[in-house]
Amino acid sequence: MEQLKKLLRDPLIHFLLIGAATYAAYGLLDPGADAEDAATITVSQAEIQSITEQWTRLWNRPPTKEELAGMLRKHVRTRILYKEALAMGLDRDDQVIERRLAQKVELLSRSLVVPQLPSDEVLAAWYAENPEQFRAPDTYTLSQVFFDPDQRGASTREDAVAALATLQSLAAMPEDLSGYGDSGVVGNYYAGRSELELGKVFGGGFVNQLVTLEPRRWNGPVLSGYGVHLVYVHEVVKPAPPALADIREQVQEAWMLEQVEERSTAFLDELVERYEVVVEATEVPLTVPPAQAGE
Amino acid sequence: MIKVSLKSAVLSVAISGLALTASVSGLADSIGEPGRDAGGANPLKNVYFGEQHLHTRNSPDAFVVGTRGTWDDAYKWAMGEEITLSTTGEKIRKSTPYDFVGITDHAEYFGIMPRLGDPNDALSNSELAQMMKRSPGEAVSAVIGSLLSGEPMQEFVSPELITENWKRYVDKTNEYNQPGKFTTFIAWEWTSIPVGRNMHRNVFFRDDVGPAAPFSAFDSIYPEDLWTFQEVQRTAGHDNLAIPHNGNVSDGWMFSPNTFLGGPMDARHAKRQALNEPVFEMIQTKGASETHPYLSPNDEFADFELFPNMINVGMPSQLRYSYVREGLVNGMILEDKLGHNPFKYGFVAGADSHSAYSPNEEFNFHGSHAKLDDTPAKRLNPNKNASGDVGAVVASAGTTAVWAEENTRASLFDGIKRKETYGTSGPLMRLRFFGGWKYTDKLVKGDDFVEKAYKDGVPMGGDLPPRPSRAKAPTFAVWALKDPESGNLDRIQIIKGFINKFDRADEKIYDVAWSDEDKRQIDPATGKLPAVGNTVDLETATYSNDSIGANQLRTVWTDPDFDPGQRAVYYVRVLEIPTPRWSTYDAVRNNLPLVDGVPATIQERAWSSPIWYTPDQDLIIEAKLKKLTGKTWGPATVE
Repeated sequence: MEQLKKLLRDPLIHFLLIGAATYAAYGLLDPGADAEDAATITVSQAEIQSITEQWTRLWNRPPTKEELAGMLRKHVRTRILYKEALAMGLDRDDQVIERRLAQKVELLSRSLVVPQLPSDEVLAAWYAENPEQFRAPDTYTLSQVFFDPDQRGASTREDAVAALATLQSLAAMPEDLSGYGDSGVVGNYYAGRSELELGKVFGGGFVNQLVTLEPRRWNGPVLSGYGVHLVYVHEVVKPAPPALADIREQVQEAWMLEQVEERSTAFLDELVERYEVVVEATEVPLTVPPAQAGE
Repeated sequence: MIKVSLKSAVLSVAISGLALTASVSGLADSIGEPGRDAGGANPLKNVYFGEQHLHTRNSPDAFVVGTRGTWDDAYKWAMGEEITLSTTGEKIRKSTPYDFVGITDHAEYFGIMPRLGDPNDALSNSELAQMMKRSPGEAVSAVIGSLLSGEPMQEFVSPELITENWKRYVDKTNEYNQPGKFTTFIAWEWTSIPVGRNMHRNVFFRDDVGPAAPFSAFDSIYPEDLWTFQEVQRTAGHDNLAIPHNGNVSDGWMFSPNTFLGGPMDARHAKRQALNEPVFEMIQTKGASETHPYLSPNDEFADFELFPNMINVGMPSQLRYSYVREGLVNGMILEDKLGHNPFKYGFVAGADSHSAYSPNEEFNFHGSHAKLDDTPAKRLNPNKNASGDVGAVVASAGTTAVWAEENTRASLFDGIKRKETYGTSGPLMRLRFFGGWKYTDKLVKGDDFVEKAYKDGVPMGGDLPPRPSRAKAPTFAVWALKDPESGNLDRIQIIKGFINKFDRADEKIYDVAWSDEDKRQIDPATGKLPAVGNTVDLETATYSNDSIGANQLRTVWTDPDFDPGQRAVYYVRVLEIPTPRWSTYDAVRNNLPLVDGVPATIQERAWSSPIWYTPDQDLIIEAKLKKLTGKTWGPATVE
């Protein structure tokens, strides 16, 4: 009994059972298939219907009698050629067929391990552990004063350093920053902008320095492709991850994907374990994880 | 009106945020882009940078040269996400993301090739798929051969297959479109290449639906038939436009006064061309199509990213009728005859990369033709290829800039259609260009520059308003701000094209604003401004913005040679200081020698869409009479 329980827990057994079930299901759906002997081709009512539907979807009208007959002739011929090919053993040593069948099994294995929908608790716990991919990017609110080398030449940096001392000595943020730097290139104040948005204005070099700045005081000189800046970061907002209820579907999808990925990989690994793999070329070490070897 | 609403928008941000009055009385944005910071639709327009010409593995030629990069890869790259270059596994990322992208896979065998190799796909059983497995070389020849001959392999051009592949693309494209943030266009490339002459057009749609299937060169190789398709689609509510490219390798067909079907162009043809093709692609990886040193002997900057040999033909393309500067004027000559200007083109630029990413950043170039140039050693190979050039003649990608109210399909499309666009050789410099009759010098200094310029004139891509009787000459306002990730600006030029007294296309180049004014002035003897200098260190592939060039240049210019009876076209060219070419970055980073036949440094640039001047009918008649009779005739009006 223990033995049987163990067997029933074995994913490989599940797989084989499912395979058998699938086979049986095909048999039920297509009674013609089993009844067919080597020299008979049966075209079922279901097949005719499916061919007709395909045509109708494409041309927006049902096929005429001639058209349907033509398609059926083509269908029958394909079936016959297929049988002949099998009889001649043409399915062996064919990479395309091999890969196609392998892929079918892989897909089947994925559908085999489709997890149950997660309970609220499971999903909430998983979301709490993996919030990053659902979070909106950080935003910066900043004031800045720009010193333009076009206008100041060699003294640009010095001017900025001098202004930095003045700005730092002020008790409060000045009402008007236009007296402190140069105009016409970039603005003084940017509210709630992501790094991407700021990068489109100041360039990536400037944005990369933002994380190093101390908030709520004047920093600088900070360099950009335009020249020298003094920067005051009012606030960096790390948006909280959205409430689970608002994006439940999205989170559930990500969770399912991870589950399928994990289980399918584990299963395929186990399948590989059942084989002894002999690699004849000794200089090729088989260090790739077994699950990826089939790709 | 506009100013008030902008201020209140900024104000509300400040109040809800941090009670910062600085934002209200401080400096807003750059002088040439007021109101961008306020968010939302900006009536004074923002500039948006993007791609209008890019191939993925779904283009048959890209696939056969090894590209496996997908539509997802191309979109993610443009949005600034890291992607894997499919041929090498290299992780790459764009330094400054784009605002919009139109992926333009070839309509011919659109999406077919990746399906051949997918064992899950019905197409993997096709004859061609088997051939790819058996003898890939033969399969590639078959595909390319059928593209060049225009004779499709029947198994891949069934309507059901075409519509199925097309639908996959449209769905994917709509999935990435985020109005207000990132725009994707429904687009493709129509690839007519009779006898190696490049007549290609990219077709762009305004809406979220587009046509049921793309129009391909298998349907017709004649532009006239593409226009018919476009017109039918427009009637059905799907506004669209086509963008011709690579005049430089068209062998004299792109700007020919003769039609491809044969015979001289007629009025209807000229009108339809202008209607369906508002803009032209100025530069891409297969070279610039502005002009050639032989066509513009007085232009010392004409020798820029030339790609003179036709693709895989190994013969030079005919120069005449291949470059757009001459084409603009020949268009006006045709307009004199036909009443319509077929070449009334605005300018855009693009990549035409076949590696599923847009390499517009000179310092971030990883090849543009998959396995043909995906490593520095291949790119810098000193031997000549099938086109008769070294591989390094390939340029980095160009970039399209569009002035539009907001980042949406409709707004950007409308911007392209009214030609309020410019093309760059890759950097994201900002450029405004306005024409009118009463701009004064101080216009470009004031905070209300853009608002006033719109009010008193037209932006790039427009026609000068009718000349007021007292106006002696048109005035042009131009402003440029550098890309913070690229070189400083050297100068702004205005290039004037006109019909000279021999009825031939003529041109004149004016330097109108430049950096380092204390050290440089126009030489009265030559009329030329001295070169800006060169700070590039070829040992390290670095340059310096400290000693030469400017962040920002601006001026108002009046045409000193204006003739009111003469048609004229004006466009701006902005030059950066010299910076290392991609091939130089490659050589230094990989310890390889520089390649002979390509320059080590380049002056990146932007080209604005033109502004046209058309004399009123009386003046045209007067000028013609004078020419015929040698006498000056009075106004030909009957009062």
